[in-house]
Amino acid sequence: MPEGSQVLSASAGYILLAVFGVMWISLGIFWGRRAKSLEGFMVAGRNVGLALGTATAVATWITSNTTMLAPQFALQLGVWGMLAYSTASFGLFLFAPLAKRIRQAMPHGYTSVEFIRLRYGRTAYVVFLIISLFYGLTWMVSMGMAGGILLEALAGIPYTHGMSVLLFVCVVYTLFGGLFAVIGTDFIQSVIILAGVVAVAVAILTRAPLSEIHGNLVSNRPALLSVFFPAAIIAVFNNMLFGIGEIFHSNVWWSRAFAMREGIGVKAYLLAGVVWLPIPVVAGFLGLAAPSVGINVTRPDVVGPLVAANILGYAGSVLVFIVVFCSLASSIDSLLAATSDVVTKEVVQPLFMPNASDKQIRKVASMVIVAVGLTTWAICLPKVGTLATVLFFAGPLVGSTIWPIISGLFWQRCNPAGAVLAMVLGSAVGLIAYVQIGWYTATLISTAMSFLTVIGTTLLWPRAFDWRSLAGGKEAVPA
Amino acid sequence: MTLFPAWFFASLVYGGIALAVAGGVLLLVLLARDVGGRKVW
Repeated sequence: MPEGSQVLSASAGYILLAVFGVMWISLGIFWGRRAKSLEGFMVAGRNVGLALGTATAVATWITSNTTMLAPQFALQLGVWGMLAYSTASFGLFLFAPLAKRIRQAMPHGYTSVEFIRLRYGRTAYVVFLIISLFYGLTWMVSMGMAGGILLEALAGIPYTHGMSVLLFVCVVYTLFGGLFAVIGTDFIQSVIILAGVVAVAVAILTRAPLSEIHGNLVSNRPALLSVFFPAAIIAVFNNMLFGIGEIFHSNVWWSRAFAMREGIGVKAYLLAGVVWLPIPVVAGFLGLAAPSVGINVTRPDVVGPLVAANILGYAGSVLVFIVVFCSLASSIDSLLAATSDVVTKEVVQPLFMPNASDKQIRKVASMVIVAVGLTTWAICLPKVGTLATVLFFAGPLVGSTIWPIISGLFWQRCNPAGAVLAMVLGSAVGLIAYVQIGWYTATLISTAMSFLTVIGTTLLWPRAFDWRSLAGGKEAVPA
Repeated sequence: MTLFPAWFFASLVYGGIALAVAGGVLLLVLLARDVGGRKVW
């Protein structure tokens, strides 16, 4: 957005940041009273109900990309772009049975990395840990940078100030309240985001009827309504698998499966998929409607806020700012908590304090949150604008973990060597496809390679696994 | 070029808005139910 064309003044932006920052931190401190023990801090006491369980999955999966990139996606890939983005909800649907299995198999578990270590041994643990930390940190840094850039674009708040305040607020309330604070704030954030997106879409429909928007597209941009848009159709499958890979492997989703009360996980993840599904469609509609409401799009990445500000005036600008802030905070806090849990439980504890008590680990977990937050801030500071590409780079890596996780949870005979080979070969072939063919094929090819490797190695070298070792914490035979 | 017809486009947009509203209401109803049953967390 050119200088001076922000939808909100900087002072209004700072006031909104202060109001919501104080609110999240206060709630974090309030809910933090429950987070004294390690179990309370890391997995919210393992007793989260359906309402908060559903909302936390919805809010975490709504990143700033969902609200800001979906209109851009629709503007570039048309109706298929809206549908392609929506397929990310399939990850939530398909994780539902896994959440049930995870809760049953590991009633005292903390992280996804712990599962891989117990199920497949040390080599698989190292490979998976690298993928997991690379993805977690990349996602978090991309959200921090997106936050700084968006707050600057929306209200003219300097990048460094906006990014720093956003990370500071998320670190402080996660530090005080652990997963209790993350899940509690996620509920409020998900309701605000849903209300905001719907309000803007309805306002557009009062200004320009749908028949007029469709007619406008037929006359001026027919390609956006094309039934046969090959690149967009391939993107549907690639996005779907990327989303599945992200959810299946990431501790963000596993920690919620551990946190939900017995029997809640399946329902919560299925409902979250249903609630999340329409958001890219409604947000994407803003992009397609832009020409019909007289907006000349010069920067597709901020088309959503431009449309909202144009239709709803000052109130619309405030609404968009709040929605974007909530989208960012709901993802950053979850990533902070989940990444810190992995570093604490799977790196610091086994390496430096194997005999530490839960009370000692609880203290270390707080320090790790601060360290992860500071690391993210330091990487965000130079404002390197290529991290979205790096995040896409993670697609084939996370895609390669899908089958080792599914088979590890449900197939007793799959073996450690096969899981390691599936992750290494899947990642390698996927990255080659990323460079040689294009980003939209990388995850597809990586997942296919991983699938064939897991099936082939299991049929060739089946190996029985004692499921009880997942519950008891006894390590599997190393690969 | 075969285009998505107006009725499909309308179903997608109106359906999306209706589902998003239903999702928000569902979250609030679930919360009220969990609060009533003391099953929030």
